[in-house]
Amino acid sequence: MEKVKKYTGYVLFWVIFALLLSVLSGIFTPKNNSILAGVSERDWKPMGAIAEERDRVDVLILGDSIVLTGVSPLDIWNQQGITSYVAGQSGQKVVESYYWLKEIYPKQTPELVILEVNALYNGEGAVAEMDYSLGELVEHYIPLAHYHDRWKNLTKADLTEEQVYTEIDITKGFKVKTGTDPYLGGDYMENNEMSGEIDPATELYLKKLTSFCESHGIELLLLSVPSPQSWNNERHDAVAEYADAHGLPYLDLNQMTEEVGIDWTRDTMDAGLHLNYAGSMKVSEYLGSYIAGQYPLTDHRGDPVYWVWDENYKQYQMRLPQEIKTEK
Amino acid sequence: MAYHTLLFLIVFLPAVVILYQLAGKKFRPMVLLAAGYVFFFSFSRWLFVYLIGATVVMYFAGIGMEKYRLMFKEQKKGLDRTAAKELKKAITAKKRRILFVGILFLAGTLLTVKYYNFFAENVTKIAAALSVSAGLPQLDILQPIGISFYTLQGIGYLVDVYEGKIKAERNFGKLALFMAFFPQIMEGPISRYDQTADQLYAGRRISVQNLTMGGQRIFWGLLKKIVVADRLNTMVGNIFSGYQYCDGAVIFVGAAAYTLQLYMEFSGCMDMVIGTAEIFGVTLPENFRQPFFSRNVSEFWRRWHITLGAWLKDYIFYPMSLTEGVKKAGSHAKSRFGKHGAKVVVSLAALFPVWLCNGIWHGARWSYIFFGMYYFVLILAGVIFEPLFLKFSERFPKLVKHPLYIAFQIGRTGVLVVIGELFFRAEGLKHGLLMFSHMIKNFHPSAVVTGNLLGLGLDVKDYLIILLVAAAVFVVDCLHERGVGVREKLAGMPAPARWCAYYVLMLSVIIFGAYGDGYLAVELIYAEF
Repeated sequence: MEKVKKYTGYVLFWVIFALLLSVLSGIFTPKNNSILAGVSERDWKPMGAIAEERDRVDVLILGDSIVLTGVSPLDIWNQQGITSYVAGQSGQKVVESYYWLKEIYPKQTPELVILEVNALYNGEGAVAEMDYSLGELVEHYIPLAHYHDRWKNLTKADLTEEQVYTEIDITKGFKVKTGTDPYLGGDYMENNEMSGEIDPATELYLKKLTSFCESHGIELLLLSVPSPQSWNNERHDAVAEYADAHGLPYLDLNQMTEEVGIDWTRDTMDAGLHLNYAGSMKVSEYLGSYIAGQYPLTDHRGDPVYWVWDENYKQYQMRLPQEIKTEK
Repeated sequence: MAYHTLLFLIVFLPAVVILYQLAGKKFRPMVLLAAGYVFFFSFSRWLFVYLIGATVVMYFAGIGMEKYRLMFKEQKKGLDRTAAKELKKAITAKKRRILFVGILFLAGTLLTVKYYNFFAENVTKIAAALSVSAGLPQLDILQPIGISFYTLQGIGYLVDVYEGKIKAERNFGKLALFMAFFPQIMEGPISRYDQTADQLYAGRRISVQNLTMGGQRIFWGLLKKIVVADRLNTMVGNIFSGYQYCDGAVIFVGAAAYTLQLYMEFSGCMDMVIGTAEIFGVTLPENFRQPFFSRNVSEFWRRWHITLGAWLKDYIFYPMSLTEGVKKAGSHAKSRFGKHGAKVVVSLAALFPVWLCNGIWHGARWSYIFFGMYYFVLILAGVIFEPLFLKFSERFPKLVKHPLYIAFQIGRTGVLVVIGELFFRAEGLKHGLLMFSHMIKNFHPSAVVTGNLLGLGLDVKDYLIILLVAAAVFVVDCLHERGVGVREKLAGMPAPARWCAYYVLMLSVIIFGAYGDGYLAVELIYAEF
């Protein structure tokens, strides 16, 4: 009897702790997806996908700043009528891509997920990535761990209000970058300074992302946006090997910069790491045509339900920096 | 996989606990040894051969010395006193040779990986200054984590075997476990073989009591490290990197904040380490004993990084004091200046290497050597002026016992420690000296209020939470100082109160921790040494 009482005590201790974590998670989670409400600047763009109307996003694009500045969903919309959204972040790792997909999925049911695979190489070694992945896992299930720093800004409303995500990113996750700093290094794919090895934790989450898409009937496309400073043949081969093994298509635009029309003296903002607006237009056009040709995606242009996308496109065009408008 | 990471806390440690518990008594030490090597490998990769190499050398050197000790025991039977003395001398010489080779290997490895480039750089600079076209090349040498800690444990073991304080270990696994116990491999505490080896090898079953007490201490350490030390990191970094633009008073606050950061970080890590060991029923030596209650710097060093101080005392200070040269110098000084003169001379000769080693042990930098010399001068001054202090105490016996006078002594020690840490943290000796001079020349106390302390990466709420946790640590330290066992008291409380205390502790770490978005991960400071 004494033993039963003792063990019940241990269980009860942890059950109460779990309840406390759950209640506090509810309180600490921002009640809106705005920065003012407590969402970090880094999370704001991917969170915008949740704020979009239900089931409006047909193509969800995940990845780091290379895709964030390299693909413009509204230009794809304008040209192909496909609704896409870049749920990318600077330095996004695959584990984050995976959890963003899981967070966004209940609200959006994309037919195609595109993963920009530079996210495979944002880690700092096997052990560090295991730790990071674990952190992401904990934060996914215990939001308190992600939003803990909001203790500084909690208000009474956090105790009573429901979560309602309403703040839409009119660029659909795209980050317009102006300015040009040419890349003059020539052929970069032969550069063997960067390792192509994918660390075990990253590969695990790539597999999880792959099987999530598979089990939910979502097509998965692996993509590389041109970036001389972050890509080479070794990385291409590693991703191609994974794609082959899992029957996935892999579109490496680094290998077809001429077809895409990239001019490295004009299309990069920082000597070949990221594309600028001009480069992103070329990639968006190429990618848009590619997915329109390869996947049975609906052209929603003219569908009154999607009027917001037309509105957003207009707003986005109006808000483009003056220098771009002048060039146009 | 440092002690405060999730990988350690929710994967590695629980996995080791489960495997350890499932393994029989006989196999538990093997689980700990395997865990130690996996843990070490996770940081140092193949550099863990250094650790194994050190263990192999210790093993054979220990057995070699033991063989001669037994030989002497056997052969002295039936010998007269003079012959036995002769035999002892011959055997001791052989043992000393083995000890020398063992220490040469252990210390030589440490010196090479940690100090070669520093040495080469300075030789090259001197050669250049003398217009000699000679110099030593810089080498790309990788340093295994924890080498400064396990090397001292290894040397301690060899010296203890040499002196006959302990018997040489014939069980290689047991010796290997002593060197590779995962909780202490990164930051110590530096333990002696007779303190931990038997406990580690006992393979005691983990009890709920062990788990609770160990877990309690781990969370207390996390609170210090993640809530206070890591939060202070940005502010300290900003002051030390931009001291030229700060008022002297703000620089002093920065140095004091760094001292607090270091205390919270290192003592917090020790709480995690000792708590982890406690789970396995192993009592590691304490490394801190309320250092900021010290009334002078000597006392401070008996309370701060205790195991390093004890090691330096046992393996450098005493052997140095007992060398023929120092003894002779002491006798000479005694005949000329009396007993106190002898004490000063012996202290001078023995304290200098102690503080030189203490300084340079932290790393190959002139600022660390200066840090060691700073304490050498302060402590030697304490020895020199000891008669004056004694006279003062005799003259004013009531005053020296007055709480205000004690508070003054504690405050004075605190200021000296903060100045020492300023040099310790500065980006090199030159910056340390410039920073100190800037602090003295531009000291305006009012700047603490008007000097933009809020523009250094912390807001009012950050300062409040730091003060709150620091106050809690201060109260616990006060209770420890009075001999109150806070953890035992807590464990003995009724369940509702105890649980509430545990929830507050755990949730404070989760909520107030300086981690995640907006914070840079802060590596363990002492692991870098």
